[in-house]
Amino acid sequence: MTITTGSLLTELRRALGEKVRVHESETLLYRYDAIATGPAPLAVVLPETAADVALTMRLCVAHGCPVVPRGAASGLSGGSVPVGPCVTIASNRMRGVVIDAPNLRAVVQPGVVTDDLDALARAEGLTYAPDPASSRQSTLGGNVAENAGGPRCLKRGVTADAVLGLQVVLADGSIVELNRNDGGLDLAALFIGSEGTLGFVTEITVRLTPPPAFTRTVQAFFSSLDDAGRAVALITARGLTPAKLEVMDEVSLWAVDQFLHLGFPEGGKALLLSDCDGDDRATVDAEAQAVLKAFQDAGATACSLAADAAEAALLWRARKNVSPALGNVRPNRVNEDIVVPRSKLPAVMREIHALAASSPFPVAVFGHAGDGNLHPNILFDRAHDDVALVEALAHEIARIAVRAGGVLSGEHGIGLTKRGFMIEVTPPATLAAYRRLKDALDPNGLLNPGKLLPERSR
Amino acid sequence: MLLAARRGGPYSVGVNSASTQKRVSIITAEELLAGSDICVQCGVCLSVCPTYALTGLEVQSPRGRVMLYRAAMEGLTSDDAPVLQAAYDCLDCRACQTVCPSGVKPGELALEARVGLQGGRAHQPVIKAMLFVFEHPWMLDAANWFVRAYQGLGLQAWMRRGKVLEKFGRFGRQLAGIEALVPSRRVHAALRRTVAVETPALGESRGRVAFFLGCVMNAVLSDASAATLKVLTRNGFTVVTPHDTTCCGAPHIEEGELEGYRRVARRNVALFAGLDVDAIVTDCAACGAELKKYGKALANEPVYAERAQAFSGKVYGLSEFLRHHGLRDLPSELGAERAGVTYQDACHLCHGQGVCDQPRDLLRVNPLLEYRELEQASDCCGSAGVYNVTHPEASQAILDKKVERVRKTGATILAAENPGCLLQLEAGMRQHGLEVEVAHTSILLERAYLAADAARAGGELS
Repeated sequence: MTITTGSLLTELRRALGEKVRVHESETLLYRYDAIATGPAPLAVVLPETAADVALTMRLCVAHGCPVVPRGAASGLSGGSVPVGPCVTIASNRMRGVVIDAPNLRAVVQPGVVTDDLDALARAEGLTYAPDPASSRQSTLGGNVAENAGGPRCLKRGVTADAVLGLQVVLADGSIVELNRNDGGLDLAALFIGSEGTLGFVTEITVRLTPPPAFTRTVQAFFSSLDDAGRAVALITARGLTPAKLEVMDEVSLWAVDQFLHLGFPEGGKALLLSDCDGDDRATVDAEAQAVLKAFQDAGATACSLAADAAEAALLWRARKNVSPALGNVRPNRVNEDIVVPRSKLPAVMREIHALAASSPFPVAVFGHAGDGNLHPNILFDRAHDDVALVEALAHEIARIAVRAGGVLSGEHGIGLTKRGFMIEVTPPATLAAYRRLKDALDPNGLLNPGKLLPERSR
Repeated sequence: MLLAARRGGPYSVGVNSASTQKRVSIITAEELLAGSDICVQCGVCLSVCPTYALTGLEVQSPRGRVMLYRAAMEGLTSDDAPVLQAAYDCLDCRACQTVCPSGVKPGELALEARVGLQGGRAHQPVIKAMLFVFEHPWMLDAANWFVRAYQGLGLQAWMRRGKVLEKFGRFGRQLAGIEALVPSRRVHAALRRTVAVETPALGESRGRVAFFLGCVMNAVLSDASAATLKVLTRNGFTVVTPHDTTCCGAPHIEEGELEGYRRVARRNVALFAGLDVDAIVTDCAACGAELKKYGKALANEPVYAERAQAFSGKVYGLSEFLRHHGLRDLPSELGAERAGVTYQDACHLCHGQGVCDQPRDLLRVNPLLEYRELEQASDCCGSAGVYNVTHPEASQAILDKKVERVRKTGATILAAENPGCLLQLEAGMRQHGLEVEVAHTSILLERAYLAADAARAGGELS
């Protein structure tokens, strides 16, 4: 069906006025996210209410026009990038928050920034647990669309674990309330991680939790990535549950050292950084000691336990600055996002390391080792390097993960960048079930086309 | 249809790079392309941008503006007007530059765009008139005389009490907005007319410095600069204040007037080059930021390059300088009642020069003050050069939020180290009926020194 663009834009502007942006100097700026770029949308709508969204949805569908949702566009899988003519619905003016402290929850509009929600929660003595690295700018709507994680999710769960309910605008313009605890079907679960392909989320009810009273930070250097992998497997095997457990490999460490001059020990080829937290000081201390012992048993060459919050912050500085540091090594990178069973971590790290050693590109591996979620980053310079080789290496790394029983995306989503892999790794019957659901909710295929689900083969 | 990973990654088909270099100089196009190429569109800058916070529009964010300059240079859009507008909608507060993990400079790119898209010259008569005034020190002295007459004759009080200007429709209200920026407390005589060229150090000498007297400081805040001189001399520095100091060039570059900017830069470099001084100190943050860039701005000028480099290397903000050398003879305790003070970072001091801790340190050791941190102190106050004149609604919205946060501290004094900020903040306090004294840290320091003198004279101090 062709889009009747002229009348669509006229009707949108008549209904929503200044909330509709059509000049190319603006629409051009909604064609990218933090990893990919596409064509500019025909128009950008900035709704303020669910009614605005529903109206936009009805008009777009009536005119055969695809709809692409967008938050802060900090995504790393192209989720908010248009693939063709479309209308982008941007949530940036939907920033309402209601904190319901006595009931340990908050109701937020999708454009609320993650850190802003956490700050408001903390003012009431609570916290919003999921902490994606992009939390300074990413929105709750985006977090729900991609089922975002973060270092804290090891112990506290991902976005899906924090969502108590959703309000969603469906393709037919209806606004549905989905309460995950009302005894009905858990339809909200379908939308979490659906990357805007099943509906547009207009309200999110989230769980807030009291922050832990005590935190201890433990750091260890290892002489091989392998040893670090074994340490992680050991921690899981011993039943320890640190709140965060992050890994950085030799390339990441070198990049950060160049960038910040923190003075890492000689021969440190891998770093593990862990937070243990809880409400009982003795228990937290004991857990930290146990984590330290696991590090030592796995062959750590240097260990430290932070004495106070200031020291802990210093230890975390390295991990928090990996991204900008890598930008200094090569101007471009592919940021992968794989998950493997923790017991397979040592083997996977060994394989990626070997693959990287035989490739022309530096590969930095860092990430949330505690739940097996790694970010191999292939560093390159598009001015000099053959991009096809980079892509091939990316595919190979993804296959290593899948062969080890892992999955394609820990937290960044499939988006448009990993769609191709879905066919490789998803059993046909599963894919068919996904498509039946998609057809039921989006019969015209207008909700964020080109994302998540692979094209149907004809 | 182009489907490309940004900057031509694995998903790339290639970026359309039709050149628009006929419209702008090669230098501007290169600067804008190179400056935007390092942007990875991560969006961290969105978290600190005042205009994005107000509007939620990508085109009002640092990332959006940088990507728009880039799109224009790549030929993806041929309409320059919205691009120039975007460059002017930027406050150039540089909060984005402080947080950008990739080192993008959206504030400086906005200035580059203003220069490049207007052919390197300011065109509007009002702007040209303003720049003319800034380039002729005697005109600023004259402005000072008029403001003092305006106040002294009771005109200001009458105008404000009767809301006279507001009665003249939209234009009148605009004028009222500008008038609101004139301080209500008494403006002192222009320092440039009264200051000695050389003011000797008091007590043991620690060195010689030049003082760069800024235009607006001279015109309406001479009491603050006079206090700066006193504080410097008390600290053992002989201060040389050349009377022919010209505008630092910030207004010029902010209006895209590149030639004028270079002209005043050369003049200042030549004037200060012959002085035998260890440092060039300024109490105006905006001036300091520009003066520190002269080296880079004149790098390609055969006659001036080396001197400009030397010049920039000697520039210090007042608190930066004092903190570096240590305050002398200021007792840490005077037994006096301490007034609650809070501090607003000048964007071009904190984000522009990285001088954020030093002003706070000086307030903390002041025996007449009790320091309280202002929430979001390094968020722009909305003054931003002449932004409060060109974008009155946005500026007011930003100022209103700032005043609320000042109110929350309960402080009775608000300190800042830039004239634009001081005027804007004073207007804000007045508008909201907040009894808060807005003062330069130099005034607060001199006040403490005078109190120490009195205590010493009264035998209260050893």
